Amino acid sequence: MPSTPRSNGGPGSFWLVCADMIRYTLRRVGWTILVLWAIVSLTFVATFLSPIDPARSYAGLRASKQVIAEVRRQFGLNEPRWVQYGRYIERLLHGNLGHSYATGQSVFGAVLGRLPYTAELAIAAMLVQITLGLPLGVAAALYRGRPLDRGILSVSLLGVVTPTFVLGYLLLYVFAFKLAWFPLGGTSSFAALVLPAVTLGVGGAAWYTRMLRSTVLNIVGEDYVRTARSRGLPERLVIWRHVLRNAIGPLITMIGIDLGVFLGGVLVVEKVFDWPGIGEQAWNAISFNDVPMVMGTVLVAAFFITILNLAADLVNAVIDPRVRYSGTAGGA
Amino acid sequence: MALLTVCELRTAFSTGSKLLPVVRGVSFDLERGETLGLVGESGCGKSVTALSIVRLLPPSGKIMSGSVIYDGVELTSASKRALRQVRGRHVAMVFQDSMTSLNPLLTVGRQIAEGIEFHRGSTRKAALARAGDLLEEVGVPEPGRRLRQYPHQLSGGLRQRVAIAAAIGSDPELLIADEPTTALDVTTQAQLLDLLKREQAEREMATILITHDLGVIARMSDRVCVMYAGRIVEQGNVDEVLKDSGHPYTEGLLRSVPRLDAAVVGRLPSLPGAPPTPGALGQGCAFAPRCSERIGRCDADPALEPVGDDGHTAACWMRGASRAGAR
Repeated sequence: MPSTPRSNGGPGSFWLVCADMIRYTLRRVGWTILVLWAIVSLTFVATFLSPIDPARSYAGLRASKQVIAEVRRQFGLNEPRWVQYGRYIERLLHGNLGHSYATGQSVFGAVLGRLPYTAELAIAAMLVQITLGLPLGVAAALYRGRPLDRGILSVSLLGVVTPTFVLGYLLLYVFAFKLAWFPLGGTSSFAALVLPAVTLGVGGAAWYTRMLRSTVLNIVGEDYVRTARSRGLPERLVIWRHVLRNAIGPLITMIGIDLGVFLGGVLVVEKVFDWPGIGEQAWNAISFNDVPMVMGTVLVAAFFITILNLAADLVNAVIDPRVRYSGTAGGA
Repeated sequence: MALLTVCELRTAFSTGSKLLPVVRGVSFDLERGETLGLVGESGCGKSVTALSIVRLLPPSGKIMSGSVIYDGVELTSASKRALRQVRGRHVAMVFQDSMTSLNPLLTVGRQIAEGIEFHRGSTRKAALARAGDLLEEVGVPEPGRRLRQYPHQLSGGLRQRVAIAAAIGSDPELLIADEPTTALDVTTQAQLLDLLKREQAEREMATILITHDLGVIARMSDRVCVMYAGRIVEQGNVDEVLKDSGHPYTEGLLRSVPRLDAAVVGRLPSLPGAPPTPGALGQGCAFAPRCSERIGRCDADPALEPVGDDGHTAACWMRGASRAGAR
């Protein structure tokens, strides 16, 4: 049989993949912008529905009627709603999230100031989730029914039902107080990151374990895995190339969403470990009716979740050709 | 020595507490280059028999007893390693549903090349080139373009050609095709069967063709095994069995095929009743409840006995050699 020269049938020729990816990316970015606009608008509407009078909050509890009226005029709160909305959008596009009623500082600046701490915790917790969840989930599926599987299922169940603050205080008590292996909260050293990251990550790891186990179990029974085996391929290769590759999709979506949620601040862990993150900042703002701050934090959190969701979808589009052709995955 | 010898194969599925026998003592031989048709209704155990040969059963399936000897090697007790050396390289399989039998995340070329890469030790590039040749051989137009496509971008007929290309890529001596054309329209089916016949002749490949379609059997096979409720009830040369069947079940099947040259008279004949469910079988001939010729003796399980010449056997008290003593 003659071998006519033809292009390498690699993993989908690079340029073809690029063209599809660009089309898909543009489509998704378009939707993302729409979603962001909707979030921004809904947040705006929400402030009008809240019973808090921003002028009162700003002026203080003891302010007189005249002062409040003056504040209202200054902030343009007497203008028609849609004018306020227009100004709101305009300011947002310039990155101006307003100024805190409590401290007077720029909301954007304040949030940005706390962001590095939140990001550090978020990334560390995500690492914990992935390095624990992935291998345990796959192992449980591959050794289904055996002692290893039962053990992993029990432990992960514990991880899923344990409230974060219970775990946090438990770890603090045992490892920081009693054993003094770690500092008692704060951000003094790298060691201080360990306990909060573990606390935050364990719950998610437990979820990933169970979800991955379920996904892998489904895939292992699929026809194409049987076909791969019928080709005489070693089991390791079958698991790696055929099972894991198909199982990773849902996990990537979850990672994207989780990371987005983390970046918006995780109040409970921050409170337990005295971690100066965006979550704690939001909590303080709510307590003081600091409307711009609250709105600012909500917007930042929503922004991160939306962007990371987009990133996860783009990664999935690279892995799964069905996503980039039709916009939806065929499912595991 | 026959290429494949299956002897008294018994396979069962475990569902919780119960064990359901699905293959209840199947025996046949297959010579090199021969095409054996395995025909029967859905649920008769023909697919499970094929999967048992290379031990590709789902976790709930288990080979209870019997032997499968391929080229001198006992497969039922072979090590995982030995089994992997036989699979793909010597015994290849093509499955019914090409959409689910191909990995949706890998290109078609990659999946065909996979076996070649592993069994021949080729580089990825060389294997992909060979995959392109194979696609051309199985009649896929624009093979270079198709290599880079994903399964969901191909039609059913093309996908099945891809499956065949992947199967024959490592030059196996035995191809097991489990209802390869059932999911396709008649025209595509005809084309695919022609392809299979051609490949088989050119490569001198033995084939086990599993189907419920007697027409396919007639066209493709040298010999045929008719299965019912986990057993072979008739076996022999395809012409013999179809012309002069030795079992009421085979006759019933043949009678129920509408004929183009016959006048349409009344209702299409069909076999009364339904095939028994596994686990609900009692003693005696499994077909007896539906058989118009049953006699008292049918309460005991009939063994396969010669009914004609040339190795034509059937398991029926009414037809077998022991018929003389039946009445």
